[in-house]
Amino acid sequence: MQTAVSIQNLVKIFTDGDHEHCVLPGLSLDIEETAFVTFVGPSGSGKTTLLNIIAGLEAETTGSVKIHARPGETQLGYVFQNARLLPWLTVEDNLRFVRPENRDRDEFEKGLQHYLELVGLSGAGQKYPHQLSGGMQQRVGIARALCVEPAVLLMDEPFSHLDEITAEQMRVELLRIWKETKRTIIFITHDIREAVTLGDRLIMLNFLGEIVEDVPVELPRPRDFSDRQFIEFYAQLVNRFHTLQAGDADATE
Amino acid sequence: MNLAVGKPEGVGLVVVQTLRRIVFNRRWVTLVVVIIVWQLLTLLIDIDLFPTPMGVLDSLEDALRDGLFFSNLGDSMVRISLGFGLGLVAGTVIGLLMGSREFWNRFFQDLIVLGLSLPGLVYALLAIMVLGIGLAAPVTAIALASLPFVAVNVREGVKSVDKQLLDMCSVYRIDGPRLIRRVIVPTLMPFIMAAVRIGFTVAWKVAVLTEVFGASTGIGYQMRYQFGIFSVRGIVAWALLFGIVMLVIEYGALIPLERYFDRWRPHVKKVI
Repeated sequence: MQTAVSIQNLVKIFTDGDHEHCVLPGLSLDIEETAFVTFVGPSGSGKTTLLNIIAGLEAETTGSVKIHARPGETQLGYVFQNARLLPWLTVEDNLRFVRPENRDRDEFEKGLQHYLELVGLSGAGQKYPHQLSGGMQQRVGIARALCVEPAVLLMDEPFSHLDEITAEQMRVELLRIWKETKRTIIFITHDIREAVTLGDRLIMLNFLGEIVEDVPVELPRPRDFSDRQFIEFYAQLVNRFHTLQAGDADATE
Repeated sequence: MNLAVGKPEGVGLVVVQTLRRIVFNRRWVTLVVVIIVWQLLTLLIDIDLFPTPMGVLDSLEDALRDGLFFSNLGDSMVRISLGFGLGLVAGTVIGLLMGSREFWNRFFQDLIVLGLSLPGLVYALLAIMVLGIGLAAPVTAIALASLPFVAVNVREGVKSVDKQLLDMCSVYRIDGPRLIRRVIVPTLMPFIMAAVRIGFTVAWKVAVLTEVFGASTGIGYQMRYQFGIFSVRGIVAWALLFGIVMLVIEYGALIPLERYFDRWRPHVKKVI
């Protein structure tokens, strides 16, 4: 199995005047191709900073991030917390907007229709974003990310703004899409249950941005959170999570 | 109960509805009331110079005879188009600079405030004194007077460009012309439309002022002429025609343009 992302000793320090604040204290990990990796951590643990550095939106202080794209692939697709569509373009034009400049137009168009169908929006290509529900907008966001044929699909709490019923549907859909496209997914969430439901590898960060857990999730799919195995695994992680919170409370006193 | 009997259908229905909308438009009430009150006032106020609606109608006929109104309107329009075109371009450039670079924002800030607050008359008088009678004076005055309104609006437009969308573009490596055409311009469009609306009315007012003082054609010149022969009803007639032209531009160009640029928005409030 090839490595899709390798992160080497990644450090991020924010400077605010004289005050320095370390968000990532030297993070190293490799992510395998086609893996579904979920990052969980309390807010302020540097999850989003990590994702933004991988996406090139923020610069690392030291260390490196390498994304290994195959020929014909773009490095990244990004699904944001809110869909971030251009409101003045139709769904199809929103997807066309991200066509990499070296990508053949006809080929991209084929992919576009394919991915719209894959996310269940083949009839909505001519609609404007405001005519779609939040869940459907997020589907467009996923289709847009897939359209560029990314080596890695980054997802930053993409379902946290949706109501729980829609979010649950979207999780099922995402797993189906992942199976069909075989993309590598890095998924960030603060919801442990969501992380356990989705990922096949779970990484937990603490308040200092250190990796405290890096475990494979070997529960059978489809995962049912009323299943005994699921509950036991989930309970362990939740306990671990609580010790982080308690530890932080001690540290700040 | 069948009310549909004898009711027009299809194209006929559309025509009837449109006519009905024009005939039963509440705005006519305003017009009728204004004319009645006006007529009553002329009866109450016993001053010879106070024009009656019929008197103004006579003057309107005079103004429209031999294409006098339209040739003067044409001259004014040339000055306004050139001046406002210049003001729009320069104001947009300055607005873009002010919105995107703090240095230029500080540099132009006070000048813009000054420009917004100066009466149009100042531009008109100065332009004529410096540039003399000709095309240059009105064009310069109109450009200078409308520029600050455009700059202020464009600056606000630049500030309202969505940072989250820019991040999205950066992730997908979108920059240059595609970013400008698909993200920046659509964001700026409503602000530029607002600028055009305000700037255009300023341009009209300054155009008329420069024509009053330094031209031998144009709407402003005709008003001065009417002033010279002390014809109150003449001035009212010309002002009325002028107002009608503004309404035609508003409904014929500005509102359709706005609708076009707003077509992607949910529920645009109906203006007419």
